[in-house]
Amino acid sequence: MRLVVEKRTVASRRFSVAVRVASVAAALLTMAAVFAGYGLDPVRVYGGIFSKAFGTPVGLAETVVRMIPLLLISSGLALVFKAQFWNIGAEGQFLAGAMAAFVVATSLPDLPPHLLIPLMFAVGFLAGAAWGVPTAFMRAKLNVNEVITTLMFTYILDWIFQWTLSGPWKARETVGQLTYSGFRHSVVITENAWLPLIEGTRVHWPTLALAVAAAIAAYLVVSRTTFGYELRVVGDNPEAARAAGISYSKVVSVGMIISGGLAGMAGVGELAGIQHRFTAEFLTGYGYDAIITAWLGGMNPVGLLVANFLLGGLVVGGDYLQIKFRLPGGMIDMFNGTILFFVLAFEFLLRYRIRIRR
Amino acid sequence: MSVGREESASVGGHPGEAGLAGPPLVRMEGIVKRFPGVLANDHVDFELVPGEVHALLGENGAGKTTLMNILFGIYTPDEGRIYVRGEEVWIGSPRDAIRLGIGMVHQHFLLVDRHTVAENVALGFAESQLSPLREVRRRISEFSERYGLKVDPDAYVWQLSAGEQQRVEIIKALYAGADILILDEPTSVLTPQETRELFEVLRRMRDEGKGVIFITHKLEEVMAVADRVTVLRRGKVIGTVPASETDERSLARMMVGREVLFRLEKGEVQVGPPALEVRDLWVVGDRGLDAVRGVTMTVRRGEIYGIAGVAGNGQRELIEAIAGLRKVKSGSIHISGVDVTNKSPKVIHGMGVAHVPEERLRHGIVPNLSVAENLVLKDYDREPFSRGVLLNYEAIERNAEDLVERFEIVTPSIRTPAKLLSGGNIQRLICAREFSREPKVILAAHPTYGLDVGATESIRRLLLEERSRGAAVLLVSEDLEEVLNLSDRVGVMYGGEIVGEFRPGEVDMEEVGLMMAGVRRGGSQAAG
Ligand SMILES: Nc1ncnc2c1ncn2[C@@H]1O[C@H](COP(=O)(O)OP(=O)(O)O)[C@@H](O)[C@H]1O
Ligand SMILES: [Mg+2]
Repeated sequence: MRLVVEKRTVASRRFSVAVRVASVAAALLTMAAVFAGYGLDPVRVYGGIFSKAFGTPVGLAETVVRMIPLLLISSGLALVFKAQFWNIGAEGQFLAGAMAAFVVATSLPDLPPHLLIPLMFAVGFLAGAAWGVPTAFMRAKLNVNEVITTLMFTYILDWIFQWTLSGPWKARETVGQLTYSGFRHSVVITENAWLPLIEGTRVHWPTLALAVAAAIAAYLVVSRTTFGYELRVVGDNPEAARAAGISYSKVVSVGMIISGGLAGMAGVGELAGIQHRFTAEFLTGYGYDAIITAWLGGMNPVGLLVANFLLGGLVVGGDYLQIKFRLPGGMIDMFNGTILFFVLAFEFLLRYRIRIRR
Repeated sequence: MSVGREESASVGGHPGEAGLAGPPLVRMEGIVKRFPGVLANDHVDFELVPGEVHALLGENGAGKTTLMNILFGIYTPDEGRIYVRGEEVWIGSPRDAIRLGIGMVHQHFLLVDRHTVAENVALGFAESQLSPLREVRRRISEFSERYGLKVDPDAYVWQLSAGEQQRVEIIKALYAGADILILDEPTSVLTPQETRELFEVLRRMRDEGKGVIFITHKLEEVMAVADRVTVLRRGKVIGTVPASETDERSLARMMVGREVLFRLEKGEVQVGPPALEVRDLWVVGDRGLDAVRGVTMTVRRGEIYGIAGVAGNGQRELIEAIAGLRKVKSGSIHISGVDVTNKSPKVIHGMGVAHVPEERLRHGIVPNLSVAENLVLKDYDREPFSRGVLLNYEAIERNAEDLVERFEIVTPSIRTPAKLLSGGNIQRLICAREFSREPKVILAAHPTYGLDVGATESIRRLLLEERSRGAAVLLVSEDLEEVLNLSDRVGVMYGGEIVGEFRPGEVDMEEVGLMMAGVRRGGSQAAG
């Protein structure tokens, strides 16, 4: 008996959805084994995650809070992935947007909210785009692989960020007569820059609205515009694109402006809606998690919404796991890593057919 | 493990001497191979005996390569059995095949450019000797002499012509100890002279008792070199016959399944003003050397100018330069009197230049986009297919329905991904896209390469219709028949130059072959 692997030419829509669902199920099963090895009852763990993330209004709201940046970032990623441009540096573009918005908010603290907040989002978009676009040029003009550059750009900015927290942006605090600067965090931004929340929750609805709009807009751009057509042609056959006079560098640059820009706006939302200041723990990996959801959701607003909602729930459930079962934080990274691993591994099934022969 | 039975005579005539004693070298029984949507081999029986050149004849897509890839272990069959020298075997990989004494020279060579011939041969046998290169060199010379395979062991592969590279591939196979040699369409890259030399090599191998399987779709080659012929059509064996008991006409009937018109009707067309003028054009190739060296030519409206020549003599670079896909070093290109030298592909297309590219899958289509979307690849950003930034799918689909019907593209639907179409229909799709805008100049590179006889006929007819409409057609093809049949004038390209120009019929094939090999220059009363 032997396995025969052959290229599959088409995969039906239903089959691709089934494969995606199966990949997540496989990841859950694998992690169940890990939990069991840890001496925990997997059923209780998953039950806990589920009821925590989706079972109560408070939990649901928290899940939405986590979904907001994921949805915004993954909409841009799904778009630029269409050109087979692998932006894995959304984390850095997210940070660039947040840092730029922080500068705006601290420089213009007296601007009224209805001017300040839109300005922060606009500047955040530009900053995220600016941090992403050089990688597109490097790929188009110098043929440097974007997987390396986008990731390196994230590291570069993260080091700059860590430095500002120990230096120029480090807050001085006054207790009685004493002024000291101890903890590595920044000042809190002006309340004019705080995003409005849905009553009783931490859901900053302006960013939520932006994220939903971005998911729909990205879909429409890809499927209905000449630029979307160019993205698809470049992604599917760059040589044919060249012969048709479609400029690779223009297409991936604009793609990265959109993708980096949306990640930057997500960073603005996180700063202005949730954290209100920088700490050393400002980054929690939304930029990486969004790669998973962009892939799972595909270029489809409903798919993106579902994938990001579920992953948001997983993040919430993960926090809960840490507290309730005293699991190490690395366990959640492992959880996400396992999902990404299975999603990518199962992608193989969409491209190849495996048969068993005698 | 059963041992092959002694009943091979039932399959057809036998060649002489060497073969009759033992079991056949190879016996394939009931081989079935399916690819998604295609039955590439449908219960194929095939047999090779020692001391024969066995031609495997069939149209493109008949399943010849697939069958031989199965014998060489690249694919595994879905059904069927294979016997080598009477023993049933399972060939799971090329390594298994080589161990069984099977060698294969592929349609596309697999040599490493930056290494020498000897190194390339040695690369396959890393495990062998202590001072491999000296030994390898000695044995290469030995094979060279024994079979008349002229190669210099110390030449770098990138310096070699296609014919020389092929000889290296044959030596590689012999070096590995092959006495069953498979050659997949070996003559497609050769000049007529090189082809004759190859046949001589094959005969010597046969006389030594080796078995040679020679894949081709050219009838005259079968008659020239084969002892027996097995004809495949749509994955099925139509028959195996001794070459001495058949002729080209009946082989063609077996191959195509109907009588074949060997010639297309070509009407008289009034030739118009020059549409494409190339003056002293120099273009640099991928290796940094001049690939096009001072080409001057004029193609008029209503005229087909054919370029004959062995691939790699600057044809590709010439076409790419005209299409705007490759930089011109010096010289000029004019379209209807307007200088388009070094303009972008978009501008040149806008001037009315259509391009049917050489590698249609790589350059011609976007495989996962639909037929309809592929049909607007060059015009998606123009009215009516888009307004502003928005695509107009209604217009795109109406256009597709119209072109699919007009150009007889066979597709399940206009929303089918283009990659699912057959080669002939992909080519019709490209022609539909390029010709529907009534171009003034058509650049057609190997337009029928790899297509079956029916599709070839239809593409050639399209080119002739365009000629009648008044297009200037620049046709590049390695198929000399095709060039001579379609063209009003022919230029022979060798070493980046046009070494001869003539009208079909003025010069005999022998002469053309010598020009293609760079041995002779000539015939230029036809300058237009
Ligand atoms: N790897 C493959 N995947 C899918 N279809 C294939 C593959 N290889 C060959 N085919 C199909 O099988 C048929 C036979 O192809 P092939 O053996 O290459 O024909 P030939 O060598 O006679 O021209 C064709 O229809 C071709 O498209
Ligand atoms: Mg073939």
